Amino acid sequence: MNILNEMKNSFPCHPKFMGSIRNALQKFADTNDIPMGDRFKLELALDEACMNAIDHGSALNQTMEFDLTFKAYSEKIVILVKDYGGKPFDPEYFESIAQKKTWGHGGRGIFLIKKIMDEVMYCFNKDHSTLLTMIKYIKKAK
Amino acid sequence: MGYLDILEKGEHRIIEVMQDIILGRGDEADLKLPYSNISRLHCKIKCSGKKTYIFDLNSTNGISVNGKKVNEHELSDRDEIEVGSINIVFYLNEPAGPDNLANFVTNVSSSNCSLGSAGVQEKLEIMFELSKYLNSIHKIGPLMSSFMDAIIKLLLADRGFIMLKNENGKFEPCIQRLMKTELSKKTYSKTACKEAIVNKSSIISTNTQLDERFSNQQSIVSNKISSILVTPILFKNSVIGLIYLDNLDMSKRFNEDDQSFLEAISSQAAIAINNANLYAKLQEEKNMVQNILESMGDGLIVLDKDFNPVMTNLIIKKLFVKSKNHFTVLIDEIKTLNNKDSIIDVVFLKPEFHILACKIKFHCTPKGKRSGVIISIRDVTQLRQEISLKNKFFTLLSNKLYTRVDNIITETSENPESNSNPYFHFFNKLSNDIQTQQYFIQLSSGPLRLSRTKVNLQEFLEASSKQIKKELTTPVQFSIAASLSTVYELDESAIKLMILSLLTSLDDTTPEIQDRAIVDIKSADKGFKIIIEKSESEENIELLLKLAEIKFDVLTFISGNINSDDTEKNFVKISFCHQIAKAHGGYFKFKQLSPSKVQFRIFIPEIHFGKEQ
Repeated sequence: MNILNEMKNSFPCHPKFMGSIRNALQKFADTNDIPMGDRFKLELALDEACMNAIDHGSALNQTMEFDLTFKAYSEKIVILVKDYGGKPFDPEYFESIAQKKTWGHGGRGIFLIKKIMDEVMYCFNKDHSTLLTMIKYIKKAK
Repeated sequence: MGYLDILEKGEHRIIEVMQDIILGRGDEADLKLPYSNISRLHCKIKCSGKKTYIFDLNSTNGISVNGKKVNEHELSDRDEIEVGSINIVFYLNEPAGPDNLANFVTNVSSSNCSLGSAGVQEKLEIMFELSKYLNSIHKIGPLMSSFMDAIIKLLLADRGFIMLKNENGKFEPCIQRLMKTELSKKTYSKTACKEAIVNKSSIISTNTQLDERFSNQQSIVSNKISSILVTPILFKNSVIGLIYLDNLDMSKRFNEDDQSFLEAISSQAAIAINNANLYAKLQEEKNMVQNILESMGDGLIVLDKDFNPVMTNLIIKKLFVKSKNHFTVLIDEIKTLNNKDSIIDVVFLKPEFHILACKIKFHCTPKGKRSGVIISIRDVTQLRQEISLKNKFFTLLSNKLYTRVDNIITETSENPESNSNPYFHFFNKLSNDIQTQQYFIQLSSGPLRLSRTKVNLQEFLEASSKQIKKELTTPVQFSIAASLSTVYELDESAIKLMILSLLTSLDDTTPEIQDRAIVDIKSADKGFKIIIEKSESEENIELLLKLAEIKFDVLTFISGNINSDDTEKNFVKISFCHQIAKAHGGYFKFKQLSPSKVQFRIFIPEIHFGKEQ
């Protein structure tokens, strides 16, 4: 599967950069001809993912940065969000997210990501980094 | 991109893979293989950039690569593919094909009657082509077969065979050509072979009838052999095989040039044989390693120094079958670890939920250069689910106050629907794990409070309930029914059980049970079923007095509190209590003290039979 386009950026861990993050996605979506419906969904998932990276991953420490990578393939978009907060892994939290079927207390961000994206994976490298991988399959108009 | 060397009915066919090729029996296949054990569309060779893959197209007999069944496989140089009964070798570069070799051999052999007439340049070319071809075959059988055909054609021999030394050091015929019957002592010159092996040198006889060494030999005379050429195959100065050629036609005789050529090419053959043996050994070891990988409980991925997967086991394939993208991302993440051994926790949230514990170990050369990576992956999802069930089980227990675990187990075992209840199975499993006295002491040293109190039964019961006390002061109200006689035939544990049951009943808050006495003990699925009934007959009073001789003067009383915040420890405590109670014929109870606090008590009587000494 050949990669068509890749865009990698680092952003400071502060919510004021959310605008820049959304712009980056828009730019990437324009370049790769992503349908409008999917753009909104991707933006929503990205907002949640980046806020988590800023908030939990780096405890609002502006001197820290997180990496954001967009990859475009012929039939899918891959978004990687990697923060270096080294947040401890809480399996119970993810178990509750996995079982969650309706809106409830807590974990709404990840619940949303799970709903929107087709494949979601977290990699926790203890005391070092957290990588969130989100994949969305795109059906482009012919 | 690559080449397919297809061996069909002993004939080789070289096909260049320029684009995707479908192999099959049907007309719609690009490469038609008209054999019954090949499906109409059997498999597909797919080119993707510099890589070439083979995919099974749901064929009946499947495909094997290097002896292993595969559904899809990235082809490497010299991979041996089995499609039905057809053997195909994949080459990245154009092989020294048998077609080329056969044409070459045919040209040379048809130009003159003997190789001797070929020039030095031509001989070298033949040698080069032949050795190139020999080195491209990795299986002894095809290797020897091709080699035999080539030298028979090149040296214009009428007949020939190759013997190879087996594991026991004996020489066995490996391949033969045009020997009329099965190879026997009488069809060839055994003396020549023996001599070649012993002297480690070639034997040539240009005219056997004039050669004193062979002229009188029966095999030479009876088979009318006119010329013989025997060359040992030497590897590291040891004979590993033998090439035998002879001519029956008087006009075709071997000469010394033929001998030199055969000696030279036999040393090439020796290297090829050794390579084939090493290759077979390597394949065997590879299979063994794969078997070890498959038998492991954890998933395992072996990467080479460039992070390309070299080996995986079935667990990995199952785990990533729906999450191939995750596999790629995980490998990319491992690349960022800078050769540092790490443990990564991974959560597949979608499409399937898995929690994985990944242990990454980098393999380095003595100089510290990365030579490979081993990733072991444990899927802890199920284990986590069990813990989750355990917590739910605790909640269930807390909610059901004054419910004995035994009752739960009985209920679940009697009700087929609840037999699948995971709490029940889990509880049983855990209970079996906790059964040593040692464990008892360990827990006692913690928040669990243990008190051993000597309690007289009478005193205990008096303290327990005014109502019970009242009934005990008038023991005539209790009696034991006719079947009690069987009680005396029961063993100690049965009597103990009976007494305990009585105690349990007395301590129970259910008035119905308090008003009853033991009337019968029957074997039941789980221990004994004790029927308790109130009776006032005089006959039974006598029996009751006999029963009273059994002294149960000590009662161990264990109590502790459960804090619902710490469910993990609490569950162990509950299980432990149940196990202790079960092992000692006792019982335990819960009492809700507050919403977050549950008190439990274990009652274990120590009963002495007979009179006190």
